[in-house]
Amino acid sequence: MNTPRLFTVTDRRDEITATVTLELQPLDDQPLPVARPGQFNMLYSFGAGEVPISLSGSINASDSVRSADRYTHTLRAVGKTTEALARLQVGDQLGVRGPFGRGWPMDQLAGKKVVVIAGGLGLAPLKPLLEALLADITHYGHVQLFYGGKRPEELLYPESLIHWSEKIEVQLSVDQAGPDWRGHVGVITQLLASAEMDPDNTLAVICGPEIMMRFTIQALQKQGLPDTALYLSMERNMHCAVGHCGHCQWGPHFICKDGPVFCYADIAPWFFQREL
Amino acid sequence: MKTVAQFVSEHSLFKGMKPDQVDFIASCGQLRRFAEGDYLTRENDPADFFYLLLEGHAVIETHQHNQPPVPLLSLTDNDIIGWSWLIPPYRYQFDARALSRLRTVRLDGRCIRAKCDTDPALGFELLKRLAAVLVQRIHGARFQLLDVYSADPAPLCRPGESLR
Repeated sequence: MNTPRLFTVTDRRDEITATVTLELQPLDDQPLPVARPGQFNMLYSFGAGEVPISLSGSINASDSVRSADRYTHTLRAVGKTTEALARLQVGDQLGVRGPFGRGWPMDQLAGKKVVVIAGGLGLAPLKPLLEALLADITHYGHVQLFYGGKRPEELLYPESLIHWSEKIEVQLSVDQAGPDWRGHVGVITQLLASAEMDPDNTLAVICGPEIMMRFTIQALQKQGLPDTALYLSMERNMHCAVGHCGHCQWGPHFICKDGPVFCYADIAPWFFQREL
Repeated sequence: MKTVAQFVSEHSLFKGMKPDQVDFIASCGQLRRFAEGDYLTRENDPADFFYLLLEGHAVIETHQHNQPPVPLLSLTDNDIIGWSWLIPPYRYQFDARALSRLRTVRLDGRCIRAKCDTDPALGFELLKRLAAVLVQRIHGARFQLLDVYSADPAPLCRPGESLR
């Protein structure tokens, strides 16, 4: 896993502003290791660099993130390496290491009501989880998705959102909207405050900008959810992805190795440490 | 069919208040229904009323010349619409429009204001409760201003994106 394997881009889809979804297939004949929702790969653009990108691909029934023999990643061009990756076209090659890290707690979600809360690009790491839940929906008590974005046209995966809303409760919230928008205008925490939740039998999974996650945690705590019922994906400064370089050390944790998904109860003391 | 007094006493804004205070507030209220598209408030109109939203969806919006209205905040069950009855010059600052059929309790702000002037205990209790809701709205507005979902580079790596 520590040596990049050569992959080729088999599909490319432009998403929202500066954001693309790439489907990647290995050039060798070796099978892909099983990936789980919430894990990430290191994508290596030759001559530009390597970045951690969460898996956002479709899944199979065993909740792995492989679709046939491919990985799917959604990424936004915000720097030199991600810009190079976002420019890749079908047939172009790149290096891939992974999958790495601890994913969403699929085993613990079984039998529970699941509240999925995503902000902006944070829906990408949650997409495999949502698809796993939907593929086996009878195993879960009730699934709700709360998704916040800046504007309606900047919400990821609009077709999937429509598809999901036929099977689960989907509530969308944007900061700004035009007069045609029929969804919520405001902040995601406002929706959470008015949502009906069963705090004794609910697990919440959260992914988005850290500020959004902070306020979301407070809203869920007001709803009575204990810290042990909150899971969130933290991705900070990951370089080696195997806990050696120390760049992503966060208190006693290495985000690349011990995360990126954490139970809030385990990281609460570090979450409000501004110096970290 | 519930009475205004029942709706008022069960609403989170008034829950736990003394029965005589709730009774008085309820005496200033009426059940009102709105059809989709109806306006509850219009900018610059006298702010004589505020509303407890019992059921339905509404939006706070502002207008601009020759342009469609700009939605600012969505509101739904259990939300409160209207503060301007409390603060001079007692004119609505924004439009509030029904996005669906609405059931509301319309409370007469003039009536409650006058009572609060002569009953400081009621006034203080009510202000504490309204202030808590206002603080939530301010927090929400600040959060919206933060623009946390912006496509611009963020100071930290986030899922699916990186500064590198």
